[in-house]
Amino acid sequence: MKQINRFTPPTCTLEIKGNKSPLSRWTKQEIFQKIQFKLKFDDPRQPTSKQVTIKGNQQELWQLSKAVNHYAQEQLHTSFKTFKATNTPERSQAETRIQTDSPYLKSQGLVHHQLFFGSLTHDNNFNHIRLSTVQLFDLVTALEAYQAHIATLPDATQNSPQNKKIIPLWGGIAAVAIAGIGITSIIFKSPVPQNIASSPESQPTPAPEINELDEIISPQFPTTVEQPVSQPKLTKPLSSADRLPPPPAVDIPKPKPNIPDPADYPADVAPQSGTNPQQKKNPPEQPTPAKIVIPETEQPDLETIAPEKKIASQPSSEITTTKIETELTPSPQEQQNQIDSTINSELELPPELSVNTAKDEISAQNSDVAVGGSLNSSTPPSQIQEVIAYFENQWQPPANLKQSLEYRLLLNEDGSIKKVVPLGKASGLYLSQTNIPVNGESFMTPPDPTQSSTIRLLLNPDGNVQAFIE
Amino acid sequence: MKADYDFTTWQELAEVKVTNNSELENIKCHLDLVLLALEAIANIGSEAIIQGAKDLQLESVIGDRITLWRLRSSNPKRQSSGGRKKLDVEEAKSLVIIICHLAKQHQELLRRAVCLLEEVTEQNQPPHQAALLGNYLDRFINYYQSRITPEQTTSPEYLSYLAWKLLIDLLFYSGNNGHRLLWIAIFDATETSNK
Repeated sequence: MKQINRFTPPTCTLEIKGNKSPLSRWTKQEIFQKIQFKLKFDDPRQPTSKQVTIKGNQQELWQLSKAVNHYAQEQLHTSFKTFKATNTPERSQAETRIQTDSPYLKSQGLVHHQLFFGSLTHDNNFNHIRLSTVQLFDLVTALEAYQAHIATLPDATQNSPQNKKIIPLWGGIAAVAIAGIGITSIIFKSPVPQNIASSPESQPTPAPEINELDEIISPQFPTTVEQPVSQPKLTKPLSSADRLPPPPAVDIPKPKPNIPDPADYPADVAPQSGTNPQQKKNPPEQPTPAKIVIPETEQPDLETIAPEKKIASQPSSEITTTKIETELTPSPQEQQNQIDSTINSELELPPELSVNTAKDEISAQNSDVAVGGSLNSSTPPSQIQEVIAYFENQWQPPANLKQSLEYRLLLNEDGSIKKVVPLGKASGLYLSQTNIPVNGESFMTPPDPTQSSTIRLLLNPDGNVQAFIE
Repeated sequence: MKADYDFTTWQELAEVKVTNNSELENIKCHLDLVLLALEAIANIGSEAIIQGAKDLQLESVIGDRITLWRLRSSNPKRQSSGGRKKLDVEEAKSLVIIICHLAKQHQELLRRAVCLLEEVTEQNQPPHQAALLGNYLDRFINYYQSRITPEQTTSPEYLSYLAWKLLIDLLFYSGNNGHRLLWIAIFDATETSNK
């Protein structure tokens, strides 16, 4: 089954698309095969024209991760080196280059870094991109989240020597999977070491009194030995710690509202504002993968199509068509329920008023009252589907969008849009990014004169699109 | 030779050998510095560190101010000489975990500070003119000079550079993988210093 996972720190978006292996059932991580990745540096501080997207396959993602991690480690290491060795500022010129054509990074002063793409496919005019430290941190975060959530199996169709290097990665997981199945216990009759997957919980607690060890294992959170029953915070990795409330405001001017494209700012406003408005609006979050399950029939096999082309030409929203269709055609019972709930909520009727009365009132008021259009049996479904299909192609959710955007579209008789009414503040802010055709272009078959000419459009941050006749 | 650390497993870390006490001393020294920078940027004191230890149920290692002070005094570059104890590996691990836990708590602040640093650097302005960065630098230099034995060659430029570098590092340590990055970094450092 094909699946897309997205990792979205504030300044970049890593999208992983691949075949999910059935082995995932037995592992903590999801196991993917035939991965294609798309990495978009969509720092909201940068104008859209400067936002770069790179893409590639599993092998290239591995090279990129390795280069980035190696570089980050190198950078962290230099602080200690400078402390240790010299008292003069050492501008690190660390360069990580694993092999020719591989991506690598180079530092540029204290706070900037250059990422050279190597053989990666990219849409930049140059063969490198300049990253700020925060962008680098987000890139490390995204790659780390990807590593934590997804394990990869080598693609059997590729026989490059580097595939061998991936073996330790999936080998460990395969071992866990086997242990999980229990085959080993049958064959060997002896317990298999469970700490092979380097899970923090499964590692034994080292003896606390040892003053010196010949061998140092990495720091782990204290295990359940200390707290066998309550499973305290300790047993979780730091990553699972609760998000903390944003720190108190400092003496920095309040940021401008979350306007989507900073390119619209006058050139001197953004840098002098003291801090980045987007950053304040969107406190860094641990990237959570947005999952979209794609039925096999929806997607042609990756091998049959040039992978990059495929990723580029396929907005995420297309994937969700099936889901939407199922949502649009609920069972009669569900329709009834939904109508009831819609009526109740939208009319704000007192609870004691019967649903039937409410429905009578609605029919009496004809089209003035909003009812979920897709549930209306007299609505031609093709129009709604037309609208959905249109916005599935047009709707590219901004990376920092967290909530659904809702609009009321008033239609002209020729099927063009007379007026767009954003419902909610965010909807107003993001209106320019929704690609709603506001200039009178016809985008759907003219509505039946007997039908209401108002459509409610719901654009979700995961790319999902819903529409209802009102 | 410096290990080519792959990001995939923890196993390589197990290969790191500590062959003598001086390595542990260096580790302690590094950790103490990172903690110092964290105290300076987040404006926190030993209470927060002890609380962090409690959050992580590491009271057995750092239960009160005295153990914390003794632990930090194990930094060979510290001015205080009394009460110094030898740092053991478990204590180093605990400190790594606590540092990253606290850094994570202040991740938003660290992010804002690094963003500011980027902006003022871009504009060729002195970083300390921004209030957040100026306060951090003041506190860092203050803590450093009052706690760490000053070396004759320690210049103000070097201290500023160290302060900004550690601030950037802290942002990385505040990530989900921070404790691993820090652990590798200190061992990279000791390996290099032994060469």
